[in-house]
Amino acid sequence: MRHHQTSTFTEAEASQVVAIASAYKERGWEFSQICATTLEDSVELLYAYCDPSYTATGLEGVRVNVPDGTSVPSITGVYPAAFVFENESHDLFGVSFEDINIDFGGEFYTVAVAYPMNPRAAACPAEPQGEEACNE
Amino acid sequence: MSKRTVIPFGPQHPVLPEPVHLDLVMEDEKVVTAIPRIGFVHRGLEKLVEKRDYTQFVYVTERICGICSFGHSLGYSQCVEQLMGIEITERAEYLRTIFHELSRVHSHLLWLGLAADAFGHEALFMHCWRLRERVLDIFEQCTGGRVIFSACDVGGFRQDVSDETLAGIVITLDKLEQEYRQIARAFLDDSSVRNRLVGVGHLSKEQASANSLVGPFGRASGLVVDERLYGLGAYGELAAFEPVLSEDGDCYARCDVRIREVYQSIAIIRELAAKIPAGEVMVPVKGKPEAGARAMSTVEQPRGQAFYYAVGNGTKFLERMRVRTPTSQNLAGLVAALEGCDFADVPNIILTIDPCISCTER
Repeated sequence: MRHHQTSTFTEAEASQVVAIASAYKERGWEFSQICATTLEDSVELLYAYCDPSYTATGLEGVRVNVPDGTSVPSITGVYPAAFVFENESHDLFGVSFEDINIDFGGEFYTVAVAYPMNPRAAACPAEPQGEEACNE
Repeated sequence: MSKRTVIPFGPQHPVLPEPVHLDLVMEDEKVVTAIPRIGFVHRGLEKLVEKRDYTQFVYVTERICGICSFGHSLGYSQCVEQLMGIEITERAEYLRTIFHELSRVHSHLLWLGLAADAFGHEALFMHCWRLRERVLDIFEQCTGGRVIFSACDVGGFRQDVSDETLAGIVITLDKLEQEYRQIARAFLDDSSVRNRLVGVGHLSKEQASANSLVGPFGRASGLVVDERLYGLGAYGELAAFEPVLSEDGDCYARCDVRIREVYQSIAIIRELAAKIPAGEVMVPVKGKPEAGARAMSTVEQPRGQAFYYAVGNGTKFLERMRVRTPTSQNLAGLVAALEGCDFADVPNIILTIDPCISCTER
């Protein structure tokens, strides 16, 4: 009897996420989710993909480190379902995405405070843009 | 081009048991596009992992949702067991699978009731929920709880269920199945039901795949997506398992798939109850998740794939716990299904994805 799935993790740069998503798509893999985690000076995004053949008990995760102040290309052009998770990562963690297909501009989640899961982003909200907003 | 109008739908609406908002962009009576918005009741349960250790957090995951509470505790437990290299006993795997399938039966019966209510068949709604009570009675008899029953734990199944009790569960399900066949006939053969559901909210297999649909929503479009196919735990001990599929991709097909899945779940429970091995149901759980250890796990919830991700930090508290629920994944498909539909069909289309907003707002 098999008890567990096998998780495989790799690391990638933010600039590679669209190419990686396209590669999974070409292999017929399903997009599972994006998970944001607040680290000391950055946010980690975990892109998870799963094999629809179910022959391997495997899930693959691609870890992407996003330093504060940088943005990530959206993968909604490859996997439209990612819009939920990209908007969520923005609204709760303050991660900026470029060219989201259905970009809610921070209005996807109804939150009482900006970026509640990321104290640094909450102290320095992305909007208005620019250093002056942070220096005030 | 006709004049476009935006009609707000929700967060409070008679067809929605939980709050979700849709801006429906309309041209006359046709929906051009739908823009969803959530977060009205977001609870930040993932953040609680900083305050509750990995053994306590199983109680939090159960409270993500009142319908699939067992599935969430199962998914979380599997993920932490993978993280810590724990292998539970075979009897515990069997019991977990039996209770998970019981949860699927009661969830689908609940959904069928809500669907009947949405298209105006109140008597059918009450019959579905009357049958669902039998499953909740089984939970109460075995665990003391009806909705949240804390049966699953890291390391196994908290309290054994005797073979005699399991035989009694099978007898109860046999009787339930007989009555359920009559209800299912009302859903599938009634012309008024067919008029409301056939051809409504159609999504092709290609659209379903492009939008990464999960669960019965995807399977009703012919997409082979079912985490039980991995054959983990007692699912691997079944003589055969084939996901329930339909090629039609409309609201009627989604109803049909869920109706047939109830029969499938009862058959699974019957088979596993007949060959469950004897033994312990819990293994001792010692130690702490290692710093930097990561694990991902998936479970086929009644609404589809639920995803769990845990990261250890060397203490009894997890560094990160992630739960991605099926409704989050199916929002893109909901938007696609609503495009081009009649305004009057919007409630039925929303309902046939079986949205669980309390899961989404974990």
